[in-house]
Amino acid sequence: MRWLFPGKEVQIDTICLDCGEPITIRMNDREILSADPPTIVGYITSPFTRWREGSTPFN
Amino acid sequence: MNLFRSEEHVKRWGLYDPASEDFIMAVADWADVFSGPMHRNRLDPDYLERSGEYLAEYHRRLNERGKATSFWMIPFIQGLEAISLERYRVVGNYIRFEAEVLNALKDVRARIQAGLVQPGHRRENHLLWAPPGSGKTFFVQQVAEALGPSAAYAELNLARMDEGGFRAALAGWEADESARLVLIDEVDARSGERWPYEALLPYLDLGMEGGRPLVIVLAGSSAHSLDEMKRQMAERPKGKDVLSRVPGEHQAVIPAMTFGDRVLVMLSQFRQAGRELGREMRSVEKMALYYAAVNPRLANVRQLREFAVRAVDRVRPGDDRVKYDSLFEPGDPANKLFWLEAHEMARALVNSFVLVTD
Repeated sequence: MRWLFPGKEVQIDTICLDCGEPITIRMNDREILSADPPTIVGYITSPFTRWREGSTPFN
Repeated sequence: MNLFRSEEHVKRWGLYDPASEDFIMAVADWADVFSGPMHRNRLDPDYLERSGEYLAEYHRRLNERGKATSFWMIPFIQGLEAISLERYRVVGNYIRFEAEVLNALKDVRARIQAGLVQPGHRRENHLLWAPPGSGKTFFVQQVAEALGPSAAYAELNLARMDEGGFRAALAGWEADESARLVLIDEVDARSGERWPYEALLPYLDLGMEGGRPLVIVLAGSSAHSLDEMKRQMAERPKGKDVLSRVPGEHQAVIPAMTFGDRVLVMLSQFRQAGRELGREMRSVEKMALYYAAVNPRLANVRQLREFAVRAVDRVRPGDDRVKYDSLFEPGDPANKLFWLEAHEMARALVNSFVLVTD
């Protein structure tokens, strides 16, 4: 996100894939300004061990 | 990246794969991992020239969070020669690799034990925050086990109990004044309800009455830090009252499991599996350790343990080494697949062993 919008405040409005309830994140570069609910987690089904380590920079 | 309202929601999701439990992280952690130069500097003219340096930083950030990227595993495992698990033992079977974490948790253990052995007219309540998967429950269980019969142990999980069950469990040990360690797990759960803290509050004062040997450990994983969890707890009914009954020096963080921790847990599980099968496993082939440490299907201690038992069972009679081939049934395609992927990069780990002692 930050390479597209460096130094800008960005708001993400989406829904939880489990329950469909809203999720809102406000961030500026690496800093999370607010997260609603504060317990938000990210989940990736593709393990880190398979993230094409050492291949292309765009992995 | 899939976003969920909490870890609990991820695990309820229809497409959740338990083998990838390790890949649930707080959104602030993901933001940090993706904020390194590999992602931040994509528009820079020298990006490609510096991509190796950026990749290393990217892996370092994952490694700091205990994520098993093979980039760091190979030199780390290659450098291991002899491991004495005793050196890393916090309490019982709970072990941690980093010295700073090890010693901080030994201090927590000592404070909990002191509250039972030398009770005074004071509250012996503790608050622990730990990210998911860091073993906070297991840590308290091991402290309890180390106490032996000198103290009873009770464990109440707020996320799994209803009001009636919770109140009944608390009342059950109120009249019994013998030494007791109580873990209130997921103390940050049920945030929309009043009854958890209302029910709990009177029991947090019992230690003040006549030097009763009662230690209550409140533990949670929500939010992204101890301070943030406390802030959320304080906003709940009676939350400030609960927090005011936990002395500042009794508040601690259990950091996430790191890469070194996973390696230690694997070695410990091989030793323990050997004991249970009447055999002593003295060494582990580094390639076997590498496979186990980066395998996404071995994401928690229970899975590691079952894997270790099966591997030790395959070790030839008279041999005291867990070799890479011991990890697989004959003809298991996972063996060939991993070997093809890894043997060039990790050849230094083949036929090289880590000596492990308790």
